[in-house]
Amino acid sequence: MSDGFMNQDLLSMWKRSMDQGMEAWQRLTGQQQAPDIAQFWRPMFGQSLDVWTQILKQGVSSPDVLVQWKRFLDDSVEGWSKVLEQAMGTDGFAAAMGKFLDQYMNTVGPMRKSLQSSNEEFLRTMNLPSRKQITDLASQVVSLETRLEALEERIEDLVDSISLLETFVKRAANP
Amino acid sequence: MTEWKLPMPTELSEKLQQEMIKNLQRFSKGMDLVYHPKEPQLGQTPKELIHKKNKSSLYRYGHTADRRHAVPVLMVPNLGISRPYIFDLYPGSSFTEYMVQQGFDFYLLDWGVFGDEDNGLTFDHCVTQILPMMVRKVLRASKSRQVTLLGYCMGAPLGACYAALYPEAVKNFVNMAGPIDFKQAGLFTTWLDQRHFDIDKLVDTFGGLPSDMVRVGFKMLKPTMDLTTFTNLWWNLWDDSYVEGFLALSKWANEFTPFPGEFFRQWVKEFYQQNKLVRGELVLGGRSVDLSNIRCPLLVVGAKQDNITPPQCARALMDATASSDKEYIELPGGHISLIAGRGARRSVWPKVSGWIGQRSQEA
Repeated sequence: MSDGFMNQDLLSMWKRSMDQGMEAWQRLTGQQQAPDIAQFWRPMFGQSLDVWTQILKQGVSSPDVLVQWKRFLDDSVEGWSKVLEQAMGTDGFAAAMGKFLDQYMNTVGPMRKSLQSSNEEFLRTMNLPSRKQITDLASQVVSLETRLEALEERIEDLVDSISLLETFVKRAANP
Repeated sequence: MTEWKLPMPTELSEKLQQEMIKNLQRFSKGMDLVYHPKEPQLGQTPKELIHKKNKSSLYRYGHTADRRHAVPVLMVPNLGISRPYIFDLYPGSSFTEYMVQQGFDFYLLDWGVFGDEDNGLTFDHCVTQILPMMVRKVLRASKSRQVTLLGYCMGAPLGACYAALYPEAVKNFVNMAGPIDFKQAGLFTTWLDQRHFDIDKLVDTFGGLPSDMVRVGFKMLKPTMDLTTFTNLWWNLWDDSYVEGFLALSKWANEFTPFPGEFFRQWVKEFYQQNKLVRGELVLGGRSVDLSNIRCPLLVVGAKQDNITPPQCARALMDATASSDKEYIELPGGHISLIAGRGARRSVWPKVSGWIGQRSQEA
């Protein structure tokens, strides 16, 4: 049996099993007209099929089966990645994600608020500073720091001007 | 009885032997990684803290004695999302180390990790208050009159806004994978569209953008990334240098940082949703940001497979500025491969440092 014949045989077996699989799924879902799932998978399968066709055409000329497997895996993952990217780049996906986020915020938002207020209530009862008071204090420290920096910069500029002036005076005194 | 004889030429047997050895090495090193995990040593290039403002720090790298270029380089990275030690990953794979070796007086602005107390920080404040102060500190420390601004990722629009508002301080501007035209920012443009993404509600609910949400957003950009990463790790487990790089990069890639609330609101609304920067409608500190005010030499670096800043999104700066000396280069790889990895050291860094070096003589 020639390698070419064997390769062709393997390919047709693989294709047949795919077709039978699709038919089984159609029967299982009880649909006359099955949704075109193949359209979704086609980029990935097409790519994988190309890789395997190439490998089989070459015959097992290289013993690096693992290298070929790794290439196949990389190509398959890349195929998946492209399919997902296409699906996630649609307006429909963005709308669904936005809706999910909105619902999440509707649930989490009130919970966070009530947790915060009960925490603050507890801290006030214990005569301890609340998170908000501490963050407010930190913000005040930051603004104080900013003012100090501005002053520091002015002082640095003044020192620079004075040293420049000194240089001029020295040069004028010793021409 | 038929005796099975497998064809086993010498070449095949040698390759099988090699593969078996590699597999044993993979197994043994894999076990080592699991049972004796090593903490990668990151950011080892000597540095000096020049200035600190709230959470933000300005670092100077290397020794001034080796300085061969008159104009200092200030690197402005992204604010939030991730930590800036990606620029100084480990010796031999560090952009800052490379720039220092090329004789640059190199500075890095580390925006820092912001907390709830910083939720009032805005993009406006970063461009009109923090950046000018940091640039003044660089100029003072390097005794120069101008600086080369090197913006990476979000640091590029931050830097571009600064360069447009204060052009006199900028000698050269480099945009590395920085988004400019936000209508072409790929998946983020679609996901953050104002029809679907209510930024006001998000900021009002959480105060800022928590680091977990940042993680989800970036992981969703390429959901198969983790699978590829771990397959590649298994494949290269026998290679010590690969594992060293993997550990360092993996630590960085899994350390996400939050966004201050008001900054994120302005970033999403005015940049992603309204695309004000490229349309010339952005107003910061009461002044209009006109990118055509940038007349200094300009280098834009895009990455072909960048899904955070697609090449055309970064390239838009080329048409928006009035620079006469401008160059655009597009290199293979993704967003991160411009700044870390073997390819970056081989093809990106020499190009960037060479371009800046040629334009770093003070007038």
